[in-house]
Amino acid sequence: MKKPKRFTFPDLSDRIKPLLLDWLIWGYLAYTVIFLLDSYWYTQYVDWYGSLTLPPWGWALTVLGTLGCAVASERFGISVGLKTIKGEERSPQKTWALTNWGITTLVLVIFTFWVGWLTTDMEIGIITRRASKTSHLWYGLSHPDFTHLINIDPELNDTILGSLVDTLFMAYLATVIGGFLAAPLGFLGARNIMGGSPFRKTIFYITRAFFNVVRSVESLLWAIVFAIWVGWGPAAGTFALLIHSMAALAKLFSEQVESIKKGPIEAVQASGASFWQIVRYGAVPQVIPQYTAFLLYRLDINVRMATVIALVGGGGIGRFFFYYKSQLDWNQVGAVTIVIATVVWLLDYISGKAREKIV
Amino acid sequence: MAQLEINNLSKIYPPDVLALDDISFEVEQGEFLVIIGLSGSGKSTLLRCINRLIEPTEGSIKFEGKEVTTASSKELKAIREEIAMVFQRFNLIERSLVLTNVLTGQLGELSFWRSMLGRFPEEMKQTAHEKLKTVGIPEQAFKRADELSGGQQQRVGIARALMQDPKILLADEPVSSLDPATSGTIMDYLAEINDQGKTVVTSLHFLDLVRKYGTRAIGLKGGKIVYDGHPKGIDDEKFKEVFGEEAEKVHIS
Amino acid sequence: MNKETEIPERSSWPFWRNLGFVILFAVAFVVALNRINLDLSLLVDNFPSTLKLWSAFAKPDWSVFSEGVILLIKTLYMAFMATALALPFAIVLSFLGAKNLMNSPVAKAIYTFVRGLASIIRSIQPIIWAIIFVVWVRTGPFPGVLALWIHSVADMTKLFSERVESIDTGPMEAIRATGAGKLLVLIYGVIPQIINPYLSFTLYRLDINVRMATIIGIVGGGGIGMRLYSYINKWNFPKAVVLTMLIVIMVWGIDYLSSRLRERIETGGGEKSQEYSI
Repeated sequence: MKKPKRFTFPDLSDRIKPLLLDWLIWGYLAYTVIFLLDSYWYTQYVDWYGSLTLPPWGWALTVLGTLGCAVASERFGISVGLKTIKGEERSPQKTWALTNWGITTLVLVIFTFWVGWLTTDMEIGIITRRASKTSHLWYGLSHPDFTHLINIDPELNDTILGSLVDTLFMAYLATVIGGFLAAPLGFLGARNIMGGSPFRKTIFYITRAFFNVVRSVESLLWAIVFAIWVGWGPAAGTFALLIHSMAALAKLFSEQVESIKKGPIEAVQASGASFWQIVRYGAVPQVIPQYTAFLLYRLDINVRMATVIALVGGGGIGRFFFYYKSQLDWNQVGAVTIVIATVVWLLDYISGKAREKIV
Repeated sequence: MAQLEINNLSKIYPPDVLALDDISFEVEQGEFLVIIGLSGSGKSTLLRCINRLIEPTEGSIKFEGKEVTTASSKELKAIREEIAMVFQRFNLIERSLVLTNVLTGQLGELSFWRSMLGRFPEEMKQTAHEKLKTVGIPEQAFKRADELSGGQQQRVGIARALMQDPKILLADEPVSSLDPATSGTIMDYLAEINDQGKTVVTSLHFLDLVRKYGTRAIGLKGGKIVYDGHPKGIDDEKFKEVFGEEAEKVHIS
Repeated sequence: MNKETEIPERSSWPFWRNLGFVILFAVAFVVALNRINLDLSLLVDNFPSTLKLWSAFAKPDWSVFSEGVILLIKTLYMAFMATALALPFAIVLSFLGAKNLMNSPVAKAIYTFVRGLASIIRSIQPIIWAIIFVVWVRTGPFPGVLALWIHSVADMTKLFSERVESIDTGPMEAIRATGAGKLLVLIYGVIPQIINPYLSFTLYRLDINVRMATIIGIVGGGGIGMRLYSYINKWNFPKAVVLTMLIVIMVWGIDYLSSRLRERIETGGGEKSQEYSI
């Protein structure tokens, strides 16, 4: 069949994307270089990184200069952007480290490491110099004081064991309720189900954005919100874990729905089953086991988080940890730490084994 | 009236891939019809058009006089209950029990609530066990489907098809994922089903299997019928026409 | 057809076991609900107390924006440093912690020690490690990096060694059959099989570290969380909201990048698996 020749607009994304990527790399390189110059040659008169000797036109120069570098690198055939976006094959005899990709990665990693070292105030010497400051900590850990394991601490009005049960229950409730709410959300966020009409697509994007935003805020930050909302205590912690779990599980659930295999559905369909029968026998069995495994994994994560959520008023065993730590009662801190480590380790082990069995 | 009448059937995949090009043929009850052709010649599409897993673009398909292409969803379900299908990749629900997999063959006859709750009647279960015995794996009923070997999985696939007590059995490359010995066993089951008077329509890759089992062969190339007749009639030249220059590679004895 | 098909015995154990689990989980749920006092009406009744927070979204204070971006970059560098510094340690430890490579009695002892220590360290949250390191090396990004680092080393060691344990022994045997020593077996038989999973795990861990770095400041571990927490404590929500938005954008972006890169590594840049739409 012959196709009539039509004028087609050149696909700009194919040309612009590589250039943007190259520009980004060069720009980042310039950023690190300026940072390093500022860090090593800073004087009252030459502040590279601030705005003294790098006034607006300096930044403009940097931006244009890096753009120039990007264009030049495409000219001379050393563009990483072209290789990445167009997915050029690399010759197998060349060692990876010697390809453009390898060299670029290496340079970027070295510079990032260098800048990172300076920006995070790394000072290895301080570890040995101040090692003595931690002696009471190690002493406390090796001489744990388990008095309040089953005896009520009047200050906190609970026992360590009691708050441990709280911690586990918080994680459990958050996982179960979060997991339950995540399933319908997950369907709304699955591309293959919500494709088609623009209306469905809008819902898809809104749902996806919703759970990506919620997921990006750590449950510890959610706990701050809920501590303000419902007051300090395990309920706040549970709500925080719940909303974060719901978003995270909804994402996993939707990915699971997206990866449903066509075959079994075809087979059920071919036997004359109705729509709901196809869902029940073709789709659901493909999703449930993996989702159960995710739930177990999530329970594991939630228990870990629940041990520290008390830091911002979320309740649980962390209350004891942070309280004793503030009292500098290191022996009791040691005891709580040991309890936390044991329980988390145990749960990690059990959940791992259970997941192995399910999937 | 033939059991299956296909007239001027075409299928175009958007935007413009012509998978089936104006195909017409009839299938009589009790035939063992083999469809041959290279991959991409439209074999799978043709089989899937018959029970409308794929919507045909044009043409008509009549099953026992009933028009398939325009059937309502209720009529279509009734038609699908009469036409069973076996797949190349078995298409079992891998994490469900073998028995459940076989039982899904009769979902069409089960009420909504019973099927949602998974409460299959006892006699249906009994039948399922019988079908598993027919294909020689009665002891595997309570295993998970993905624990079985490829050949065993295909037997479950056949048992599931038999569960429907179909009038036609469609088989899409039923032995392509299996080793030669297992292939023979599976083909023997299909032949046995055919002996009981059921029509079998299958696509195959190997000419010797076509010659051994088929009562009629249809060759497809580029979505068109290039051969229709007895398998014995496919000489080397005809074979080359169907399969192109790759013929030698496909021919395995 | 023969009507007398004998049905294979099916033990009723799975049924009772599942029933037991269901009852156990249901009871635990009810007990937990009562003990935690999870009351939805609390959310409704106390909603007014959060009005100040939500209203801040309507009028965020953008004056902290540039400061926030710089803090954000610092946070990213913290996560990068922790991951980069953890990688070499985890690689070495992962071989010592792989059961299939450690055969002699001495090696077995090392294996047990490495895996045991990794499990213990992993069980303690980075936040708690940060508290320890803040005592140790004073407040700032450095203790934050150290806390993320030690947790990453332990976590990556576990993931890496499990990966080494699941490698295909065929290539190893082939190399050993040529009379090669232990080191050569490692280089030619083991490393080619693990390099991509290691890369993928490292990216995954970087993703986790970025998330953790945003909150580690709460206990004095530096990064954007430190400033965010102080704004919240001062009840200065308009500024806190801006920092939170920045966090969301960064975490989202890193999550997206990391998962895309991992997909590419795991599939070797090939086609995505076939998807199905209903």
